[in-house]
Amino acid sequence: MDLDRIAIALRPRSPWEAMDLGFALARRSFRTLWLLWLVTALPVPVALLFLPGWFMPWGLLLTWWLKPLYEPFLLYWLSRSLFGETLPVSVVLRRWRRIAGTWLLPGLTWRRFHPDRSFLMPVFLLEGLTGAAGKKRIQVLGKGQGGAMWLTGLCFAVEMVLALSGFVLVQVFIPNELRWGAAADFLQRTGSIQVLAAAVLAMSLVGPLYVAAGFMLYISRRVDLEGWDIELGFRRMARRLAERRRRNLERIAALVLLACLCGPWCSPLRAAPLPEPEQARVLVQEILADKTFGHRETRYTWQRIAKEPGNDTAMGWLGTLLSMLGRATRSVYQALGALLRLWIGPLAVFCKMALLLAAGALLAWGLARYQGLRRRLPMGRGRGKKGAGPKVLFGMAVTPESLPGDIAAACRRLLDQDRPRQALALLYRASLSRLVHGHGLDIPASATEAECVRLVQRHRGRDQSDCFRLLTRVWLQTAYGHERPSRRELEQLIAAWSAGFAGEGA
Amino acid sequence: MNREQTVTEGIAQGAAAGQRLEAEIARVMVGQRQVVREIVTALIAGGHVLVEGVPGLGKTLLVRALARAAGSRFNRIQFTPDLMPADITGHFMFERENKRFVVRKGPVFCHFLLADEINRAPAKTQSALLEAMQEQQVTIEGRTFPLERPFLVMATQNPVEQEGTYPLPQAQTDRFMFKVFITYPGEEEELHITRRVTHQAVGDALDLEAVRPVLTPDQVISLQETAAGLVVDDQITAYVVRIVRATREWNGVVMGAGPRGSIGLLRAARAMALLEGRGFVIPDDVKQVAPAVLRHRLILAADLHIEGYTPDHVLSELLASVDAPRT
Repeated sequence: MDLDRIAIALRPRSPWEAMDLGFALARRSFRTLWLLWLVTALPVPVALLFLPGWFMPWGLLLTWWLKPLYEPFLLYWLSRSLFGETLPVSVVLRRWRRIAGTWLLPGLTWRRFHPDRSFLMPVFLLEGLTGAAGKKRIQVLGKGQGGAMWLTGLCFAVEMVLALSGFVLVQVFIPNELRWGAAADFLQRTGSIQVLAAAVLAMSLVGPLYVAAGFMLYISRRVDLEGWDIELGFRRMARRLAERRRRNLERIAALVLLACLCGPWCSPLRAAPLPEPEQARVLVQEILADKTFGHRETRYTWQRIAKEPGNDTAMGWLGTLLSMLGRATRSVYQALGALLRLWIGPLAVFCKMALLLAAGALLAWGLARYQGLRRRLPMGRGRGKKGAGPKVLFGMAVTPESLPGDIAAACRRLLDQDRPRQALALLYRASLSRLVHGHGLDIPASATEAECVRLVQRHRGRDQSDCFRLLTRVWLQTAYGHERPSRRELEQLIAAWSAGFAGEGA
Repeated sequence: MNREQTVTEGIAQGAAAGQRLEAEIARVMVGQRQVVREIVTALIAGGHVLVEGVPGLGKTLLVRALARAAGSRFNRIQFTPDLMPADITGHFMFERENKRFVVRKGPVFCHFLLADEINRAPAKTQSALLEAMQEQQVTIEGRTFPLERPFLVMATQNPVEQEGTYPLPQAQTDRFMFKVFITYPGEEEELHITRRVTHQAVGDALDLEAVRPVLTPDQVISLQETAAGLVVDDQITAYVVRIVRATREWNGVVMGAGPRGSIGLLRAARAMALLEGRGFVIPDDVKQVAPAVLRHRLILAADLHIEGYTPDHVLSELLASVDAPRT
């Protein structure tokens, strides 16, 4: 650690000033810090996307819990950057074992909910202290330091607000048209992913600021305790004096050299004669008589005079009684104050921890229940029929299993049995089945026959669309016009269908 | 010639007549093809039409052209706050020469009636017209006079100026088979209209000379009867009922369409099938006319109104969610 290369002005700072300096540092290098955070953190939410949907709320909790895994890299980079060494991201990542080694276990377990996490991390990470030594160091550094707890609370609140705002912002900008039908289902299904994305984004924005501010609190505390500023001041003074001494020596050497050179031509130096005592006395009197030295001035100021003793007894026995009561009350308050000073610290820490735990649990519960809540909200518009789920398909069994193997042969058999309508229905069903299951055509249950024809025209070749159009026309006449199709017409249709559809298989 | 052939010919003639009617109207009415198709459909279905559109879009021209092409009588009533029921239906008056009361029939006695700005008259006057529309007859001083068929009322409403109006109650709008929106024409169409109307013309008079009568009132009645005789499969009827019932169960709809909506939808689908030259109704006919038949029968919740939703948005989603029939 070379204090001379430090990038900040060293001076005693209040915790708020230190945090502010940390934020400024983070802002200056935000791009690198954000990149580091994303590189280390992003794999976790991305991996969660491949897990079942019910795991998503727990996944969000997991991403949040693993923050001490992402933060050390930022701290390491900042610690090097503070002393003028700008490391590339890849170098920082390669040193992961050294960086996260001592901090990972306590950070993820018993120190996960420590309100001073940002302040403690440098002790473990940069000083490499663990166990009793680490604990002692924390006690020394942490004494009288209350900024880290505020920092944690503040960052937690900002992160929550950002995450919620991000999610709400996305929701607000979703067009109302998309809240209907299939798009609404999609939005509902991806709701937990949206929450996760908003939360990760908020964490990534707050994370660098949190780490940098905590680091600056740590640095500020060390400046206070170890007098870095004084040390640096002394070093600079020593350098300045050394420089002056060097210059003086050079001057003296130059003068000596000059004297040696000029000696033969110069007369010897003589001291000026001292004045006589009488002359000197006169001279001193003249100088003292001068206005600068001989001027006398009188100034008047107010001065507080203490109350004379004996005035308290002016009120007699009542005054004595009141005085006694006052002293007794003061004693009681002093005793209470001592007692509170003894307990208030641990009690406050306990209360804060309990509150933070409760807030975390509430957040986890809220996220877990969020999907359920959305479904129960009375904003039901655009969700389709009340209580109606999605329909499977459109009334007709069009799965390949429900159809005979050889459609054309089956149709001809039905024709032989004088059941032309059934033959036509089978042909139509088979066409739909091929289109839906064979070609992946998305035919909604609400599509009419003409809409099916238009879909086929858009997505299939001319042969198939011509065949299907013809088939649909005959089918409409039969189904809705109650017209009996002729055998010859049906034979032609079967032949056209065999040419257009039969060879493909479902 | 057997009966089947006669029916087929009747359908073909009906379709041709409908298309001729549309073509004649199109001689003076530039653009607005959908509106013309819906008005002709309503005429064939025997239903009345509520037209909504800002002034100056050719509502009067449309009805007058339709009346002229159909060879029928046309009347127009401008609804005002002081209009009385007798001003529509007519009244008895004393004839001094003959010393007896005679009936002076009101403007409602015609084939095509344009009720302009129907929401400007009070409910009492509105209901006089609406009763005539439903009953196809008028009662004056206890005497009933049937209205001559075909009888089509085309009532207009201005959606912009709502001050001092009497909005039609739901029970009364339900009596209109169609609600049609006339929108502004496109730039090319407006250019065409402006040129044609101003070419060697003085004043604002409507020039209907270009429209030739292609039908007679009897032929219109015959068209209506042909449409009524089209084949309607049970699946189609069930589809119509499914759609109408869905409007009552849809979220955000306070009140859906009633059975009159189902009836109107099926009649309109039949007329549409006839115009397409088919002797039977298919689901596409139903889907095509559903917005015009149902949009004025839905009352949306206040929050949907605030968010800018219209019944057409709801109907579009609703039609996309109701299963089409597959027989």
